[in-house]
Amino acid sequence: MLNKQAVMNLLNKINMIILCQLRNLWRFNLKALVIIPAFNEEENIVKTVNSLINIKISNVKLDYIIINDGSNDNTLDVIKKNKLKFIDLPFNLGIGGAVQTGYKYALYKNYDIAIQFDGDGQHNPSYIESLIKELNNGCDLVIGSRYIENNDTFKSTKYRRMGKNILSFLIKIFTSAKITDPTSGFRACNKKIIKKFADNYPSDYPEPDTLVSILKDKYIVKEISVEMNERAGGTSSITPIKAIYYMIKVSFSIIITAISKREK
Amino acid sequence: MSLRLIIILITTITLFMVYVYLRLRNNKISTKYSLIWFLVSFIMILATLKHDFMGIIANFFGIEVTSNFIFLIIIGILLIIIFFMSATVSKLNDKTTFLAQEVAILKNKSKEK
Repeated sequence: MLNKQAVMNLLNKINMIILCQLRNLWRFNLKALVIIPAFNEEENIVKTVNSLINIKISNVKLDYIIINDGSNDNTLDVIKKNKLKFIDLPFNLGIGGAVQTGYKYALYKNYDIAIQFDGDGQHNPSYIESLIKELNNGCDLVIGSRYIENNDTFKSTKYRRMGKNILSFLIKIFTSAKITDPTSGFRACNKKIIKKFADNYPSDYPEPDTLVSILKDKYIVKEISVEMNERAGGTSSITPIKAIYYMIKVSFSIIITAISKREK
Repeated sequence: MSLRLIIILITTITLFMVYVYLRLRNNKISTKYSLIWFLVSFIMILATLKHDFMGIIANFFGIEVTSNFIFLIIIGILLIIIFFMSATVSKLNDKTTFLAQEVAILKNKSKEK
C-alpha cells in the first residue's frame, strides 16, 4: 500500500519534470517589444498594428505598445475602440519623450529586445525579423537604412538627401563609423541599449544624437537595408523651415555629444 | 543725472520691491527668487543715489554719461538672471518629462491589473 503510493509519487514527479522540460523547449526564449510612438495617427495606427500582429518569428515573443503622445485628434479613441495595447502620455512630449517612455516600459517589463517602429505606416514590419537576427549575431543596435543599397524606391528630395549626407559626414568625422541613414526611426536594440536609452534620451529629433553617443561608447552598431513606404495617410510633421532649424540643432548636438567626455 | 530721473527710478524700484514683497507674502514667488530681485533692486537704488561715485567708475571705463553705465550694469545683471532662469526651465522640463512618462506607465500598469 505504502509502496504503491511511493511509486505513484515518483511517477508524478518524473511526469512533472518531463513536462517542464518540454515547456522550456517550446517556450519563446526572447521577449521583444515593438515601440510605436503615435501623435495624431488616427488614420494609420490600426493598420500599422494589424500588420505587426501577423509577424511570427521563431524563438521570439513579439509584443507591441503604442505610446500616444498627447494626440489632439481621435487617436486615443481609435486605440481604445480596437482594444490595442497603449500607454497614454498626459500631454505631448515630442518624439524623443514618447520613444523613451517605450524604452522605460521595456526596461520595467524586462524585455530583451526593443524595436522602434513609426505609427504612420512608413516602416515595413517584415524587416523586423532581420533586425532581430543581427541582434542575435552580437550587435547592440541595428538600424533599418533606406540608403544602404542606393535603391531609389524611397522617393527622397534633393534637400533631404543633402541633409542626410551632412549628418552622415558629421558622424563619420567624430566616430569614424559609416552610417548611411542616421535619421532612420526604424531601429532595434538589446538590453544594454534599452537601459541606456531609458536613463537618457534627447527630447526632439533624437536619432542621430543617440547614435553618436552609442558609437562613442563603443557599442556595435550595424545597418541593414530596408524599404520604406511613403506615408499611408496624414501629414508629415516636418516643414521646410523646421528642417533648417532641425539641421542646425542636430549638427550642434552631434558636435556637443561627440566632444563631451563619455560616461560609462 | 537729472533729479527727475532719480525720482522716477527710485519710485519705480520701490513700487517693484513692494510688489515682490506682496507676492512673497502670498507664497506666489519662492524666497530664493525673491531674494535675487530684492538684491537687484537694492543695487539699482544704490547706483541711482550714489551716481557721483558711479560717474567716477563710468569715467574710468570711458563711459561719458553715468546713466548709460548704470543701464549697462543693470542689463548685465538681467542677462545673468535670464541665463540661470533658462537653466532652471530646462531642469524643470526634464523633471516634467520624467513625471509624465512615469505617470503614463503607472496608468498602464494599473489598467492591466
